[in-house]
Amino acid sequence: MDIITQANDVAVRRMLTGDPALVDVVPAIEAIDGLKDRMILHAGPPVAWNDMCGPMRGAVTGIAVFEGWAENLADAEEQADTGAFEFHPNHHFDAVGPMTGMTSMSQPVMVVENRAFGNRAFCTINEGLGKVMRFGGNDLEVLDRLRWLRGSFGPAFGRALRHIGGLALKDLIARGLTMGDEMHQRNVACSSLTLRALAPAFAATSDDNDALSRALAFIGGNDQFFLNIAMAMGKSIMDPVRDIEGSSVVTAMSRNGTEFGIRVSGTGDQWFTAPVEMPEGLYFPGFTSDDANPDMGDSTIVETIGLGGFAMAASPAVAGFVGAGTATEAAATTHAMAEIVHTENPEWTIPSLDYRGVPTGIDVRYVVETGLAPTINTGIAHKDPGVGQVGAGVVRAPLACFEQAVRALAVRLGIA
Amino acid sequence: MSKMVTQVREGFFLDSVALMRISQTIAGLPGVEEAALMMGTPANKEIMAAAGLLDAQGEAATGGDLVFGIRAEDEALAQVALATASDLLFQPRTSSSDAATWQPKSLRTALPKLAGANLALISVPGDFAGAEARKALYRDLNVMIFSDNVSLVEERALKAIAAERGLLVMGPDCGTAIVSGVPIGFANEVPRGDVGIVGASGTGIQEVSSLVARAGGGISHAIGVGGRDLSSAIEGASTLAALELLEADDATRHIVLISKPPAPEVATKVMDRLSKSRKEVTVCLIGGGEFDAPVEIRKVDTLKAAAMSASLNAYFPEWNTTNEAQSVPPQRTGVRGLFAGGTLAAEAQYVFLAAGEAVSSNAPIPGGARWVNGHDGHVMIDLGSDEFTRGRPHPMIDPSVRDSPLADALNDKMLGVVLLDVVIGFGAHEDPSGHIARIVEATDQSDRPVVVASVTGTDSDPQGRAAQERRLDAAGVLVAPSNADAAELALACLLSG
Amino acid sequence: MMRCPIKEKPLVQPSRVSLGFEFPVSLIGAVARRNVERIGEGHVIAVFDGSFYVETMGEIACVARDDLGASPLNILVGAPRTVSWAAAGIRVGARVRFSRYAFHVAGRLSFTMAGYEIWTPPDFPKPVSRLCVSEGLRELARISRSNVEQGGLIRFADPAYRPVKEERIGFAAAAPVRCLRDWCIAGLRYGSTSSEPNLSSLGYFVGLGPGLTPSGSDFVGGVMLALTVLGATDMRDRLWSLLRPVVDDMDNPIMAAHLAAAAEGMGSAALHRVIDSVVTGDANSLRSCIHGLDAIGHTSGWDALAGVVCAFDAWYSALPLQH
Repeated sequence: MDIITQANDVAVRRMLTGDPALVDVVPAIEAIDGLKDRMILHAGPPVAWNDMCGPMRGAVTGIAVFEGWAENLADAEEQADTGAFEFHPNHHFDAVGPMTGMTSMSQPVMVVENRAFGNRAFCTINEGLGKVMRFGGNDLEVLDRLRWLRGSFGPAFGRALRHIGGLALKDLIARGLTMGDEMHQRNVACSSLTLRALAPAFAATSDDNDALSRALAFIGGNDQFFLNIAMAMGKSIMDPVRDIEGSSVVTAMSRNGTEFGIRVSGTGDQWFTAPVEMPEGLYFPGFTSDDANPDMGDSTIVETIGLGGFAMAASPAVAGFVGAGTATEAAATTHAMAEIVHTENPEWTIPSLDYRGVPTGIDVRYVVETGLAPTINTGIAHKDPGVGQVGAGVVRAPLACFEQAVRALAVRLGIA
Repeated sequence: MSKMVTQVREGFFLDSVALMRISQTIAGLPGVEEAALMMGTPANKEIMAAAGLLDAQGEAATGGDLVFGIRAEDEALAQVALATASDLLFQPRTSSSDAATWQPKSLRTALPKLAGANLALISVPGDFAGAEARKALYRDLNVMIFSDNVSLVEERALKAIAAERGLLVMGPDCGTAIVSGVPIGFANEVPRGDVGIVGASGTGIQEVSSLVARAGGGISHAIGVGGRDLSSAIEGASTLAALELLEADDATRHIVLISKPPAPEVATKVMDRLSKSRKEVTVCLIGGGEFDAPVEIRKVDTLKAAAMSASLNAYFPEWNTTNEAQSVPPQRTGVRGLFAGGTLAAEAQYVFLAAGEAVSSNAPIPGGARWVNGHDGHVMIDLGSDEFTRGRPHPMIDPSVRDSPLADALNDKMLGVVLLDVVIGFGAHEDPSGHIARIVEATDQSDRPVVVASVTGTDSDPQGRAAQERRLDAAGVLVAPSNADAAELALACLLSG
Repeated sequence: MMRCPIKEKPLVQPSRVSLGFEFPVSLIGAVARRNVERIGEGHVIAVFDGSFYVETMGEIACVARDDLGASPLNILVGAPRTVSWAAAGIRVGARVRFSRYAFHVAGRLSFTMAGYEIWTPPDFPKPVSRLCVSEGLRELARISRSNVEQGGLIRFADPAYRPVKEERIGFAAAAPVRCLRDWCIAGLRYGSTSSEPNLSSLGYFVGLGPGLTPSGSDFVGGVMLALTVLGATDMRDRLWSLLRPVVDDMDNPIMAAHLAAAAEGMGSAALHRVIDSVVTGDANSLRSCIHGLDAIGHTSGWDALAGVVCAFDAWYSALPLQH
């Protein structure tokens, strides 16, 4: 067997044997090694302040105010211009974040532990729908919600998780797939299952009924609550797959609103980037594609592990919502993604495809060979800072990233 | 001779009842002599070896592997049985909606959906055809390359890989084949029969297979090899491989080889192989009449003669060229041939040269002259050549390529006869005769050249040969039963003037 | 505001969400029970319509619809006859997680272990009489002769059977079967150490024949069961100690598990019923229970029975003639 196939066998075996569990919620500064004052982690491959898109800039100024580094948004912008903040990708710190992906010292982060390999991954708590920081929102309402997450909800969530010894995620995902979630644009089943599993523990560890009620209502009122858990899970599954010599399996896909970047197991931590594309999809009333920002966020880690667009067949309701065709056409997306992967996941199966497993282990060679770029289900942010989400849709990963990766891998293997 | 195939599934456990059911189904398939599906323990391998059901691959299996061994009358039947076994094994995995809604995008994902597939048709831009052909060959598929613009170096490399793996490469630039009764590319609906054809030319294969069918015969296989196969660079690699296949094929009684004149050293090699054949052999090298062929090989110069030589009862319709000829005024001295089929243009040139008439062409055969625009005298134009098709479809698909040259010819006072071919069948235009007829009907009937044509194809083709002939006849076109007859009729018209 | 004290001990342990479908476990075979008693993870290694095999830390169990009958490796579950585990989405490689009260497959199917029965084979040895065994063997020879279409090794239950070369499996089995029988006779007559079975012939034999468990392995399993019934556990153990390394090498954990169970004197419940009828010489009971063997794979039950006959016949031949 050739070295690439062998390496990819190892890669997908690591993916499939991963055993992620949501174990805790702690302040980012305690969880994330190397995170410090005035450091901001963002979504996607590295990007400088001057190259950041509107929503990302909006989120940066918002988080600076939230952390008390700036008096107000204008002050934050001025400081950013003078280089007062250090920017790094989440992916360089075992973390992921949706859309703008802001992670900073005092925010609570959820901790997912991959029990098979002992590694941990982190993601902030999903803020809900509407005007939120992940879509570039930064007004008082947004910052107040973040403060509540930091002061009340985060600690309560952490207590509940510690109380039950963590929440195993693999089976929960399997169940969610049979209930119509694809874990990117539809998380209502998994969010509900999580609430069902955690509510007794929240109650058992709370001494404040008002706070308890608000915490449970927050989870219950947020259909996308589980998205950030799925993302941290994805990161925890993919990190052990990094650095397998010769492997052409994609370990991360991510975008910063300016560029789309991928990492491949056999080429280490190198990012292969290309200009990010515009999502195509459906817009909320009053908005059009003219308002849309190019695609953004670390949430593509969900597709990297075979969910999201790859599991479209499990979630016909999403297909219509993201403009990927009719419900009956949803299967075609999953079939297409099966063309570009190494194997399928025997545990995450899709009933309507006779329990075919979700496509697992994106192989950059197959992407280039077939010209089928990964399909990503995504939210669409307004291009201006502070507005928020304006729609949802589908975006294709730019082929150029995969072409670069194939060349780099060939050079590395001495076959270029 | 019977053929054995095996397949090993690592660590595959199947319950005994299912295993027996599959064994019985396989054993009952046509042509299957013996079949076994067993775990690959030493004892079982010994039994399978004794039954002639184990090759090196099966020998390598271990006790936890499932081994299928199948022996059948021929390779094809054995492969069908193996494919059926795989289908039965994986029945729970096949989702009916898969097949209906999703067309695989790569060989890697397509092959599992059609177990037992043994031929890939490649039709991509020439720069990529070589890479796709390699993928197919390394997956043990025979290859038909429809694409042109594949380099000679690449063609040579592909054919070397094929030779090493015992596979066949048809093409590049191979538009026509009929494999086990299945027409591929531009081909005609002909009955299965005992004539096997190897041809470097698509329309040559179409004309011969259609004429054989018309004489009551049929085709076992017609294998295209690509226009350059008999060049000194390729050394007839595919021609020789195809001849081996037909030689080993019990259904083939008579082999017809159709080619343009080959490189001399390649001709020697091919004739050498043909002289050892146990079958009847006819060689048709159009315009390349002068070559040494052993006495047991029948040498012919036209496609019509090749078809007659291969046909058992050699029934061809009563046809008398002189009776059908229409006289043309003496000042009209030239014949203009406008052909969709390159080999049909070559055959017409040969007929003229053999009759002592000088002829020129944009694709001249030996002895003919190269045509330059404004040249008078007899001219045979191949409208399928690059100068006419660059950036537009082949005239077999889009007959309008011929519109303006045809209109010019019909209005040319120097021309006595306009000679045409009409190629029908799969892939061809739905009504080429109608297209020609409308142009002929639009010209001044009192003062135009005689129009002579023939239809290459059969009545079973989608367009229907008889219907196409009637349409031409209704427009006042003289219709000959074959392309060679049409060329002779054109000459006869001139002579009767 | 009412204050709730923070509880020291958790009320519930729902660290895993409840799964989709639940099936009750009705019976667990003695070997499979060791599996489910452990808390841990395993994988599905084979899936059939009515049953699937699970491997947990090197141990094998077979989860089967309850109509498929008890056996040492079986975990019988109450599921409709129409269930197809393959169609229900159980795949080779799917994870199986055992907890104290249930096991879960593929994250979607749960099998609850509330009140199940544990199956163990009937007690042996039993007093065995020459007359009864002779009657039982005669009946089995008759049954074997009327089942020539059956395939597998059951025809060896007929002492008159001489396989011809075209019967490839039977022909290849003839010498090992003779070898085994001779060793049984010598051992039963003069003691287990009096002779050694021919290891190369035995090793070859266990891998002989079609099926998930080759016919030869089922036959040898039958021999070991019969030796248990006859009280010759020393011979059974000797046979297994020789065979075990060969079996381990064959890379077929399902076959190995069935043989290991037989080496503990355990076969399928249907086979034990047939053995009981042979021992008591009850031809009527024999005829009524013999088709219970059909449920055990295609020929596996019958092949094992042929092994039982071989050992009983050897025992019979080893007895000194009585006048």
